[in-house]
Formats: sequence, C-alpha cells, structure tokens
Amino acid sequence: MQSEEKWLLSRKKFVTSLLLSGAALQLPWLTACQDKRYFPGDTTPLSNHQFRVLQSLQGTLFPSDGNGPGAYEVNAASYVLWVLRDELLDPDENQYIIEKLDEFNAYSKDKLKYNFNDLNPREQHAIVEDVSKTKWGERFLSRMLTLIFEALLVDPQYGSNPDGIGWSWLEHDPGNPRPKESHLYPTILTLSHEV
Amino acid sequence: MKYDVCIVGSGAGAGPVIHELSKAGLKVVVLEKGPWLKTEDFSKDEMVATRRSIYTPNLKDECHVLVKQNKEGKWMRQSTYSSGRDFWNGSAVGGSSNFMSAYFHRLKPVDFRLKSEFGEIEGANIADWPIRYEDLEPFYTKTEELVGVSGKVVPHKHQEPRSTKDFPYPPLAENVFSTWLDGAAERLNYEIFQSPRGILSRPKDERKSCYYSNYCGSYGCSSDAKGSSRAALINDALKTGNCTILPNSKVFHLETDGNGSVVKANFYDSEGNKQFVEANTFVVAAQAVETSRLLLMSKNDEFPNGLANNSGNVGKNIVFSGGGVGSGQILFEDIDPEEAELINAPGVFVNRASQEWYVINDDAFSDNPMKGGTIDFVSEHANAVTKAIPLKWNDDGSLLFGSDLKEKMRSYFTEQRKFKFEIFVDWLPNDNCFVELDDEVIDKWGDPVAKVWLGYHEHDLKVGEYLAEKAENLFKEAGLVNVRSSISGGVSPNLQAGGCRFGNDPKTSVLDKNCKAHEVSNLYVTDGSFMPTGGSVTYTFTIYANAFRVANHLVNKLKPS
Repeated sequence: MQSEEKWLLSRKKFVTSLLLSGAALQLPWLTACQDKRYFPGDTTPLSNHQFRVLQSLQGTLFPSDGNGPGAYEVNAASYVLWVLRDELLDPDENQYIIEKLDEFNAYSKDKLKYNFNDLNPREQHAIVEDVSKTKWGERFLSRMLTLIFEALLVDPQYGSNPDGIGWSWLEHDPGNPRPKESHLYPTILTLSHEV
Repeated sequence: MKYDVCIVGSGAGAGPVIHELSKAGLKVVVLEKGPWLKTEDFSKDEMVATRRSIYTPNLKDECHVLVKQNKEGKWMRQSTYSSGRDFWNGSAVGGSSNFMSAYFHRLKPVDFRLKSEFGEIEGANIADWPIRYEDLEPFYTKTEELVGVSGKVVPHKHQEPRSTKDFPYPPLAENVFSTWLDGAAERLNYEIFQSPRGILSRPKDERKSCYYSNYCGSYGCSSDAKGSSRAALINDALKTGNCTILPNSKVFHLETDGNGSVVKANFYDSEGNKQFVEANTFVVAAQAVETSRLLLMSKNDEFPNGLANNSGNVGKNIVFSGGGVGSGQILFEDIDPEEAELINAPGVFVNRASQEWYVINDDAFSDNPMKGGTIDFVSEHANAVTKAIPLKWNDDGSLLFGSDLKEKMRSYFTEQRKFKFEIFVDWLPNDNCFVELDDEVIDKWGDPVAKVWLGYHEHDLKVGEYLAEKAENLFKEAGLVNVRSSISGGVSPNLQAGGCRFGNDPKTSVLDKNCKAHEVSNLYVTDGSFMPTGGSVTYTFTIYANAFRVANHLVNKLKPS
C-alpha cells in the first residue's frame, strides 16, 4: 500500500469505526440540544439569535464528538464575540462575518423552513455541506474554521482553549515563556519603555 | 542638537552602522518607525507573533499596493489592505532581524560577477557588483564574531574562501533527522553540510545561548541568542552614551540644502506630529521597498523625481528570492516508537543545507554552467494555528469539516512529523520588478504607499525546479513519504533587496561602491537595497556584512581626530 493512502486511511480510522459501530450522528454528545449550552449575558454585537446560530454552526463544523474538544468546549463562540468586538481589526471583515452568518441562516430557512439552530444534527450537517459548495459559503465557512482553530490553539489567557485542552488533545507544546497578562494582544500595543 | 549621523531604521542594515559609529565616538541618532520592544517583552504567543499585526503595522493604517501579472498576461493591482496579504516584516527597534530564522550562508565569489561568469540572460538586468568577495570577506568574519554565527565549516565544492578556519560558535543541537539526511546524502553521493545560523550556541557577553524554544522564526528571542540587530549590536552601542534611539518615529522626507546635501530628516512622532532632526551625514536602512519609497517621497526642486533619483534608478531592479519550498512526512507508525520520539523532539534544529548545485554543471540541463542555488532543510514551524489552517482543505480543494476534519487534525499533529526544504535561487532583476509611489492609496499620515511590481523571470523557475528535484530525491532516499515541492514566481516579502543598486556608473546605479548616493554628498544606504543581484542565499548575513563594510568606511571618513 502506498504510504499516502496508509496515512489517509489511518486518520479516517476513528471516524469510520464510529460510523460502523452505531452511526456517529446518533451519539448523545452530537444530539444534545445546543440551545441549552452556555450563553453569555451579552452577545453584542450579535443578537441572541445570531449567537445561537453561530454556536450551532460551530458545533457542526467542529463537533463535540468524543475525539478531543469541540468548538463548544473551547469557547469558540465567545472567542468570535471577542474578535467581533476588536476595534483594531478590519471593521469590514467583522461586518462580513455577521452578514454571512445571517445569509447562512437564511439559506437554512429557505431550504428546510427552520432556523439553522433548530435543525437536527443530520440536517445541520447537510446544510453546511450544501453551503460549503457555494463560493460565498466556502469562504465564510473557511473563515469560521480559522476562528475555531484560533479558539482551540491560542493561549488560554485569551479566554478560549481553557486549561490548554486544545493543546493537550493535539499534544502541542506551546513553548516558553508564556505571555504575561500585560503582554497579551491588544494590551501589548500600549507598551512603552523609557527612551 | 545636530547629530553627526542620523540613521533611518534599526534592522540588520542599520545595526552595524549604529554600533561602529557610536563606538567610534560619533553622535548617532536612530529614527525607528516601530516601538522599542525589549527582550522581556517577547513570549511564545502565537496570537501576538503571527495572528495579529503587533510586530508589523496594521494594514488599515499602512499597506502596500502589489502589482502582479495574471494568467492572461494583464498586470493587476491590489492593495494589501484589500487582499489581507501582509508585505511588512517587522517594525520595531532591531527591525525584522528580531524575527528572522537566521540562516547565515555567505555569498560566493561568483555572486559578485554573475554577468561576467554566466553572461547576459535576455529580459534580465544582470550587473556585476563593483566590489569583489574578497572586499566583503573580512566583514562576514566580523559579523560571525559580533552578531554570533554558529556552525561547522565543512569543505564542499562551492565552499567560499574564508580567513578563519571555522565559525566562532559550535553547531546548535540537532534533531536525529539530520543524521537521516546525512545517510541519504552519502548514498546518493550528494554533498550536504551543517547550516550556519546567526544564533548563539554558547553565551556571549550578556546574551544567553539558545534554549531551543521551538519557536524561532517570526518570534522575538527570549534569550538574545538570535543575532538580532537589537540584541547583538544596538544594546552594546547604547552603552557608549553616543547613541540615541527614537522609536515610533516614521521618517517621511529627507530635506536637502540645494547643494546636494541632506540636512534634515522629517518624521512623524508617536502622536502624529511632524518633527525633524539635523545631522551631518544620513544613512537610510528602512528595508529595500521602504528605502526606495522614502527616497521617492523626498522630492524637491533639486531632486524633482525623488532624492538621489535624477538618474531615474531609484526603486528599479528590486529583487526577492527565487525558488520555492517542498516537504515530506515521517509517519510514526512506520518507525520504532523510540525513534519516533526522537524525531518528534521539539526545539532542536535540522540545520542541513546543500550547495552542491550552487553552480550547475549538468549537460542534460544546460550546455553551459548555470548559476544554481542553495537548499536548506528545516522542520515545519511549530505554530499550531498555522499548521491547522491547511488541514481544512481536502486534496480536491473542497472544504473539510466535522469529525473528519478533527480526525485529520489529530492524526496530523500526533502521528507524523513534516520536514521541509527551502530552495533559494537568484531572483533575476528585471524591468517588471520595481517600486514606485502609488497614486491612489495613502497611509494613515496621508503619504503615498509603495506600489511594488512583482514581475519575475521564467529562468528562476527553471533553476528552482532543478534544485527541487534534487531535494525531493534526498527526502525520498531518507525515507520520507508524501514528498512534494512547489516552485513559483511568488514572492517572500522577507527576502527583499535592490532598488538602489550600487555600481561605478552614476547613469546606471544609485549608489557608489561605498553605498553613498552618487548624487548626494552625505547620503548612504546600508540595507539590502544596494544589491544589483541577490545571490542564492537569504540576505541578512550579507546585509550585516556590507553594513559593517560601509560603517568601516564611515568611521574612517568621519571619526573625530
């Protein structure tokens, strides 16, 4: 067997075994009602509903499937709020995320009559699959995944990746020294030294 | 106060000048656009180092306009603010040398006379250098000592002459993979050697040795082992009491007196207020693109096309580095667990390179000897988010998500290690690679941004592909799988030079052989801008060495009697 095939097979082994042994989509952690999950008091600049759509979308993109933490466990939705509130980032880019989140949910309503967060996991998976095949959808979902990767793998002091669970899962050594609180983004930009 | 010397920038092109002139008793002021970050400010925070604009300007405030040729042959412009493609490298005291990987290969004698050695190539503006390797050699040696270069000199067919037997610091610790490469090279009869690095393997003065943090390139060094201009030179210069650093000071115009001399550097301070400093001599080292931009912005009646640009040469013949990258994987299931643990050891370096094909003598490839290049062998960078991002794509280009994506990530991070090779060949200077001022996009101060034309020569790809095939052979022989490479005319913005090439003829060059502007009596340029051709190695070592050479000239000329 060619080595590349072996590697591809190896990384699919876990998921395949789940599917064979009882269908991953029926496992309890995947069918849990996402609306009952952690909900921050203030979701600005998203509405409460937009936040629920975001949580559900992230749960589909990066599910809590027993293979390491999911988007929920790494506080990925709250991480997105932090990004959207960051005035140093490109406001157009952040507005884009909000607009595409609405467009994504509108697609769900158009296709299956319900908000995305009210669909069952199988339907949610199908909607994401559909949207990922469109040009706008691919770009938007790709951006969402990058934000999840950041939430999974940046320093826990940013409020995501609690206790380094993302690092532990991927056996990732984040290096030393770790940043002091005063040297985190964006505070580090205000540092000044005597000349 | 009027200073003896005003230096614009503080990176590798500035550090030697700051160091040598301060030590010689000259009063030096340094105008650095970025903040003054100290060693204790650096950490291994991926958010700060690569995910946000901390060490580089925010693209909202300052961007570039890049011009590239599309598949139909049309030249298309796009601002980096619009594309998100960052063209900055490092704005801070010490410049981008704070964040370099520090692969320190010297140029070879042939690099100084590319035109004479290999002849003209149609569509390329190749020129010999006005100095020889022998003129620069003492300053490579000085850089090895003062900045600190570690490694071991291994004779090979294109080994450059040296005045010292070996590097002043022994090689850094290596990953066991290096011995895999050694074995494979022996079997293939390829020459490889230990890569010299601008990183201390032993302490030097107040600098500690490398502690193998696993995060070198893109990160500031927390032990000062990396030979940044700040850690290696500026900190020492400050002790003289002759050096004043003004961080957050963005120079926007160099003013002349109407008689061919610069008298003032006008800059914006951290509050955006216009300030100036006066000096007798001015040295610009703002990195190639921004140096050309500053000269082009410094127009007046005397220099209506920009400072030192009555010949029309400023900004022309910018060069990057030709070549590309390749990679291969070691799957842990294919090797013993003990060996897998060694292969997976973080921090220690691969530090292998080949210059067997620095000049290619292969009849099957070319009738005549052809300039080749360097292959550096490295491990994949440890940045976790950066590693994860490509995994969201299937091989067919579709987006991967859900449990399949997670399993792919788990497997990639825990069941294999990727090693890479980087190929460096000459980026042939050409009429489609240059810098000018953009006539639409401005920065936060209202000044025109640099518009960079990124045309490349097809010859670069041909040479790059030749080397990539050799590197792939080596990886396969070493037992790596999924070996692949990509050679393109794409640009690495951290490898930039040219724009103010030096030469003996004022009609065809901006600088003389001492890097003084032909047209200006007291203006020097000491970053990579001087290079008429770039050679086939990364530039920082040569920029350091040349800046020491120019500093030596300046000390002799300006030193108080």
